[in-house]
Amino acid sequence: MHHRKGVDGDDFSTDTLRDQIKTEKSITQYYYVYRQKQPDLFRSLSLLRQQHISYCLKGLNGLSSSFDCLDASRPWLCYWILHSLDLLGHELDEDLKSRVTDFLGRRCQNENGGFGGGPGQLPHLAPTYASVLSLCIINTTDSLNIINRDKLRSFIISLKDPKSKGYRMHKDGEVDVRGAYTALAVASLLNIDDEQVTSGVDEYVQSCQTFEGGIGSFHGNEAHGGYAFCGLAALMLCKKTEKIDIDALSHWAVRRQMSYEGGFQGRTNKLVDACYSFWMGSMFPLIHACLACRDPELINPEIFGFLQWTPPNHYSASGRYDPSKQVTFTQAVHFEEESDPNDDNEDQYPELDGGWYFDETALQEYLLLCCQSATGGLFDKPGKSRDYYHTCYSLSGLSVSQHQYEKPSSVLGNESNLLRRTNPIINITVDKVESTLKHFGKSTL
Amino acid sequence: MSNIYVPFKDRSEWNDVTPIEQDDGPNPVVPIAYTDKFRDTMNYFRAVLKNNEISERALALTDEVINLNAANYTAWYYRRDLKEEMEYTDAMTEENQKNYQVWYHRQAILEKSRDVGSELELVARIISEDSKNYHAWVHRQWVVKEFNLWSGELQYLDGLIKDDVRNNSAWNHRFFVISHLDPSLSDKTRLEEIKYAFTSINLAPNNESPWNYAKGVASAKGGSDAAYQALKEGAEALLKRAPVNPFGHYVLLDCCTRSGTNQDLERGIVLCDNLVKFDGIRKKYWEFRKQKLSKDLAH
Repeated sequence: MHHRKGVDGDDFSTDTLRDQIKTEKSITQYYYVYRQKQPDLFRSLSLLRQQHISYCLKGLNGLSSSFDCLDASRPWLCYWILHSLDLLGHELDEDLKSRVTDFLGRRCQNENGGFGGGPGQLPHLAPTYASVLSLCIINTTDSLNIINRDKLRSFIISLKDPKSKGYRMHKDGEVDVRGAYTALAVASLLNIDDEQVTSGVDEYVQSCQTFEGGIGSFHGNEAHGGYAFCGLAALMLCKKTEKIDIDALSHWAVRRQMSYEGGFQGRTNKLVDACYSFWMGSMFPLIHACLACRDPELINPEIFGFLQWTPPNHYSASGRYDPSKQVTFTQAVHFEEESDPNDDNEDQYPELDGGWYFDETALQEYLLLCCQSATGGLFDKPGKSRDYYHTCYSLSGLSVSQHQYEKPSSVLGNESNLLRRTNPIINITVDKVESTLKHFGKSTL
Repeated sequence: MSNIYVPFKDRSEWNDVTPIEQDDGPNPVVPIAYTDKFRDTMNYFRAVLKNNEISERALALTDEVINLNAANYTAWYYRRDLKEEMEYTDAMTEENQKNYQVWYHRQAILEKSRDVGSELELVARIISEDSKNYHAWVHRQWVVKEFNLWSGELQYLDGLIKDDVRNNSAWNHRFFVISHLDPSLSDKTRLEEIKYAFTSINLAPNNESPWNYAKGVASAKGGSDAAYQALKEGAEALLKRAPVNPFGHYVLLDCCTRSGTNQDLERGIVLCDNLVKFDGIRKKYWEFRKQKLSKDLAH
C-alpha cells in the first residue's frame, strides 16, 4: 500500500497551497487514530446505513423553509433521495411510489413535454433527467407509462443548438455539456435515442476536451469532473467513444485522486469534494470500456455487459457479463506482507483488490471516515454540512468503487457496507436500468 | 424594495390579480415548508405567468421572486422578455456568483444590447474574490470572444499567475487566449509557451498546472516534434535536481510513448516502475501503462 503523501508545496506558498494544507490538516485528525490502529479498526469501519435511510426518508416527507432556494430543483431532491435509498437497499412502500409518480408525472411534467423544477415551471433538461431517473427508480407500470415519450422526444430535439451541435438546458437557455448528457441519458433509457437525437453530439463533446485531457462545459472552458463525466457518458450513449483522446482523458482522470485525502478533486489544484467520488469515480468503468474498444487484448470486454452497454462496432458477442460472478467477499481485503522500508510507524495497510484505475481503498476510507454525518447523510469534506446532493453522489461513488467485474466485490470495512450496484453511465441501480430498458423494448444502453 | 414585507393582498396595485397556489397535488413528495413571504410571492408570480402579463409591476415582481430564489430559471426567462436591464443583473451577479441563471442572463442581455460596457472589469472583480469561480471564467471567455477583447488578456493573466501560480483557471484561460492569437500553434509560439511554463515550474516543481500547460501546448493539434523536444529537455533537467518529481516522470513518459522507439519504450517502462513506487495512489494505472508499453515493445 502506498503512503499517504501530503502536498509538496516546494516552499512556495500561495492561496491554493494554504487551502490545500488546511484541508489536509482537517482530515489528519480523522485518519490519525485509524492509521495507528490498523488493522484492528478498519474491519469495524461502517457505513451508517440506518442513519442515512432515516435522513433520506425525512426529506422525502418534508423539507424546511431553508430549502426555498431549491424550489426550482425539486425533481433533483427526489432523485438524490430515491437513488440514495435504492443504493442503501431500502424498499419504498406503494403509497410513496404513487406519491412520487403523481408529483413528478402529473405536477412537474409539462403538457408539451419535459419536466420543470416544480409544478408550473418551464421544462428544463436538468429536472427532466432527475424526474425520468426518479420514475425509473420507482419502476412501476404507472411510473414508467406516465412519461410522455413522444412529447419528451420533441422537447429534446427542440433544444438542439445547430451552431455548437450541443443541447440547450431549456428554451433560450445555456448550452453546455450537461445538456448533451441529460438529453442522451433519458433518450437512451426510454428508447427514443434515434439519429435525430444523437447526431452531432460527438462533435460537440469533442470540442469540449481541453489541453489537460479532461472535458469542460464548452469549448475553451476548464476541464472539470462533472462535465468530464457528462461528456464521456454522452459519447458512450451515442456510440462515438473514438471521438475522445482516451489516453489524455485517462491521465487527467487518474490525476484527480488526492494522494493524501483519498477522495477526488474536480479540477487541477482544487480541493477534495466527496461528490466527485461519483463524477470522477464513475469515469473509471467508462474509461475501461473505451480502452476495451481500442485494446481488447489488454482489457476484458466483459466490461460492456457489466455496464449494460452495447459498444460501437461489433463487440457485444464477447462482452457478456455474468452477474453471478460478482458475489463473494473472499479475499476482498488482504494485507501486504512486506513492510515498506520508508515507513516507521505503520507496517500494515489494508488494501482492496479492485480493478479500476484508481485506488478504491483510499476513496472508501475518505468517504467512510471523513464524510459521514453521525445523524445520517454525507458531506463534501470535514467542516461542511450534509446535504442530499452530497449524500447521493458519495454513496454512488462508494457503490462504483465497491463493485468490480473481474474480481470479487471490494468492500472496505464491514461486509454489510456493500451497497447495491449502480450503473455508472446513468446512475440508477443496474436492476432498474434493466427493467426500464425491457419495458421500453430494449436490452442495453 | 422596502425591508418590511407587505403581503400582496395589502398592496393596492395588485388588487385586480387573483393569486394561484402551487398545484403540488394532495400528497406530494419533497414538499418544502415555504416561508409565508415565499409562498405569497410565488402565488402572484404564477398568476402573472398565467396571464402572460408584461408590465412594470410584473418586472418588479420577478425581482422579488429572484431575490427569494436566484435559481428560478422561469423568472429569469420571463424577465428576458420584459426588459433589458444590466444594472439589476450587476447587483444580482455580485450576490449570486455561483448560479447558472444569473451568468447566462448577462450573456443573453449582452447579446441583445451589444454594449459590453465594463463587463470585463466586473468579471475581474468577482475573480479577485474567488479566483477559480467556474461561471465567471466561462463568462469571461464568452465576452472576450464575442466582443473581440483579446488584447489585455495575457497581461491580466500574468498578474493572476504571479499572485498564485497554482491557479489552474488562469492557466486554462491562457491556453484559450494563445490558441486564438496563433490558431495553428507555430513552433515559435509553442516554444515560447513551454519556456513560460518552465519558468513557473522552476519556482514550484510540484505544481501540476504549468506541467499540464506545457504538455498541452506541445501535444495540441497533432503535436510538434520541436515542442516535444523542449518538453523532454525541460523535464530531464528538472529530474536531475528533483529525481522523484512525478510530473517530470509523467511528461517524460508521454515523450517516450510518442517517440515509440525501442529505446524509449524501455525507458518508459522504467518510468512506470518508478511511478508505481512513489505515486502509489495511481499504482494500477502505471501498471496498465507499463503493460501497454511492453506490448508495443514486443511488436
